Amino acid sequence: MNTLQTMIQELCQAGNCPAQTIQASMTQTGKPAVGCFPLFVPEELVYAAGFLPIGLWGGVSTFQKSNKYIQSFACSILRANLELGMSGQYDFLQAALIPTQCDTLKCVCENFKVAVPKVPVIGVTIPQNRTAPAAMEQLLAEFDYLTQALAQVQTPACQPMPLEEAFAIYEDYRAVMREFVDTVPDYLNTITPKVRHLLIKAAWFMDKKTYTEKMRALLAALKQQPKEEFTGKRFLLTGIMLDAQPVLDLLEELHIAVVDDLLCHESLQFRTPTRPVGTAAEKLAGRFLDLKGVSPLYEPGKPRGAQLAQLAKARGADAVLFCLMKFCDPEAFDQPLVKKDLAAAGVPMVSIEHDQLVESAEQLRTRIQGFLETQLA
Amino acid sequence: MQTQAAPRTSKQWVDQMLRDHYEAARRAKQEGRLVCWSTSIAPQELLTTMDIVTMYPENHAAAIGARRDTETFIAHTEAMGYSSDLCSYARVNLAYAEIQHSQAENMPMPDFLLCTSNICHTVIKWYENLAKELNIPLIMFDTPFNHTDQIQDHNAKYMASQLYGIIEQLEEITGRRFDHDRLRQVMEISNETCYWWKKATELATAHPSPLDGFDIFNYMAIIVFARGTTEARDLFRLWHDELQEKIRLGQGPWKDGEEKFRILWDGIACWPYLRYTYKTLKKLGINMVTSTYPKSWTVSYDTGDIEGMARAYSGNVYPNRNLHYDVENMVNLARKFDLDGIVFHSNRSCKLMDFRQYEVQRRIFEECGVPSVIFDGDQTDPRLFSEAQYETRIQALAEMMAESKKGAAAR
Repeated sequence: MNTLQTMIQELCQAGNCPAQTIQASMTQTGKPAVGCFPLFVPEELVYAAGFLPIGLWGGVSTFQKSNKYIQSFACSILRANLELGMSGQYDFLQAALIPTQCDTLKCVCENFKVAVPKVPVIGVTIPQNRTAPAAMEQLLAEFDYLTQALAQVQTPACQPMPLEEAFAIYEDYRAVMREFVDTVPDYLNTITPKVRHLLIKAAWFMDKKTYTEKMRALLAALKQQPKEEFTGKRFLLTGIMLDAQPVLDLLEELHIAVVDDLLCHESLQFRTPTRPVGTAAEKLAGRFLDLKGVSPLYEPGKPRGAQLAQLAKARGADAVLFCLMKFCDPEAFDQPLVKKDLAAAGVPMVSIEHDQLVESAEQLRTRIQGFLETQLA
Repeated sequence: MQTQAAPRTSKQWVDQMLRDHYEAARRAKQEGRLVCWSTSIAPQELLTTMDIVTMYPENHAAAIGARRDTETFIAHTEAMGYSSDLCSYARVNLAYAEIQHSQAENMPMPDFLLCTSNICHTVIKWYENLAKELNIPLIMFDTPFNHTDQIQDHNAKYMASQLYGIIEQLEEITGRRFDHDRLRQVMEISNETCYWWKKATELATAHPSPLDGFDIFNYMAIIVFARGTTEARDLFRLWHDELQEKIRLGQGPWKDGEEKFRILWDGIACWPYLRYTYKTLKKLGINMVTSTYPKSWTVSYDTGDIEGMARAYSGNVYPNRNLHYDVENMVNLARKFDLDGIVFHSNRSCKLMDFRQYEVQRRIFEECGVPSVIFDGDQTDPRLFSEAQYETRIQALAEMMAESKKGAAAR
């Protein structure tokens, strides 16, 4: 148990302290870092170019400098990235990959070029019309473009490798993570919402190979433990992310466990199965084309609600928690329809509007408590 | 489309065309013809070729806004669970799809949808929801955001391929063959319409401008819904000729006032406060001589060139271009129209237009010394506009423009 706890603690610490973890990862690997903005970028290309890809998912509580570029009714993750960039916190990056997957990302991609001149921006275009036959061709050409753009910021410290090798490392990471996510529902007392979140989050700041080894060991140790009985409520999370400490604390306090998620920041990064045939680039492209349940990506028929209902049933979830990121339009468009689909499937849903600035979850406490009492009593 | 002899003035003609547009569409629906709802800068050429009745929810929401009839719709959408932070055009239209009646005009309900992502990402989600709620097909034309100065070739190929795919989808929906010869004709007419639209709006470069710029907001409805018709082409030619005649006679924008300052309006109008925003400017002698709009609908290409058409739909729409383009475009407009100032509408509905305004504003001032103000508002949600704030900002702009003119005269 001690070994497991130590492993959990170590990775949670890594997830909780991005700056230190990134610094340590850069020192250990000797690789320069490239930042990856939300939501989905082909990290494997960055890895293959010999960089350490790291996730840039916000994380500040006040905005000052970024107000020079962007109004207050913008997504807090992207405002935070701009703020951190303007404060010099990203100066160590060789480049930032910014996918233009929503309107705010498009604008921040442009503002970042001017506001953070020390960090070259590499725009990333993921097609929205993913069922169009030309989408695969577009992505393969886009990968060529990105590879060339990354080559321009390479340094002698980069450790390039063939894409096949990088892709295999990421496939291994994804397989371990899928197994972890499948295992969590048996250990809900040990893997609390906060622990689950931080363990998954740590991957954004570490070399994927190192992280995967640590997670594999952790998972093996976890599986050696007897399965746990959990007496609280089991929630399935959906949204862009849930990275607000007070909210995670509140869930734990209310004896709520997270049995699975469809969060862009978490399992949606590794959930999609890879196509069995094709080159590494084609398989990588296929992963983008096959992404499901991601609000900023167009999906004919909007199956997210049905996908959540199916997952809730498979995981024995009592309810879905819709984590609506404040000022996130794609999520706000999805929310009413997801709610309707879940209601039709008999799965209760509660929404919370949040961002990374949440200092107190008292208002949310009333909301979630009320939901527990009225819907799940 | 035209059922009577052309009215005497272009303004009357616009009103007539608008009435005919809605009336003909309702009649066509009753007769069993297919109706499409489309985003505002979409490849209408393909729909026009297939003789599909096309309605434009953005136009319709704007008309509802101008009638100050939005609150019922907004309340309805919020009751459906939609956030009040979302685009108010979308909120009005999603409610209309349920209520199906407005004081402004009634659009027939669609049989399918066409969404083009060049104007924003929001329309993708809006149309995705409509398609699901109405259980109808959605045709998607994705035009990737151009973060580079030029449209990337692989994105142009992706877009062109989608246009061919749309043709196939239309054949499937209508059960009819697509007539490529007819498409060439429609492309030619569309080019001509855009030519006259551009030529007319550019006459505002004259001093004084013969054009009362808020008219652009009215004529815009026509360039949205009738771009592929000879009637729209002839209307804009008439408008051009009328403005040309005013220049010859030395007439300015108003009979009862003099054009003292010339400004660019950036962003969508505040439809519920159209009169107020206009009068506040006019009483200070401020004429909006241009906006970023005219160019967005100047969708020009070589007739028959599908990839060229794809590029035009991607590249002509300034929200789909990068910051460098935004600045260059506005600097060019400032010089061409001899602007004294710029009014930026920080429109709560339109994050894509808003979130680059601060930098554009700074750069315009740096590059050509044109002062500007930003005011908070919304295109159709009347709760998000303050008359007092708007008036104060416009007064401040007038003072800055006067100072600037004084300085220029002294030099």
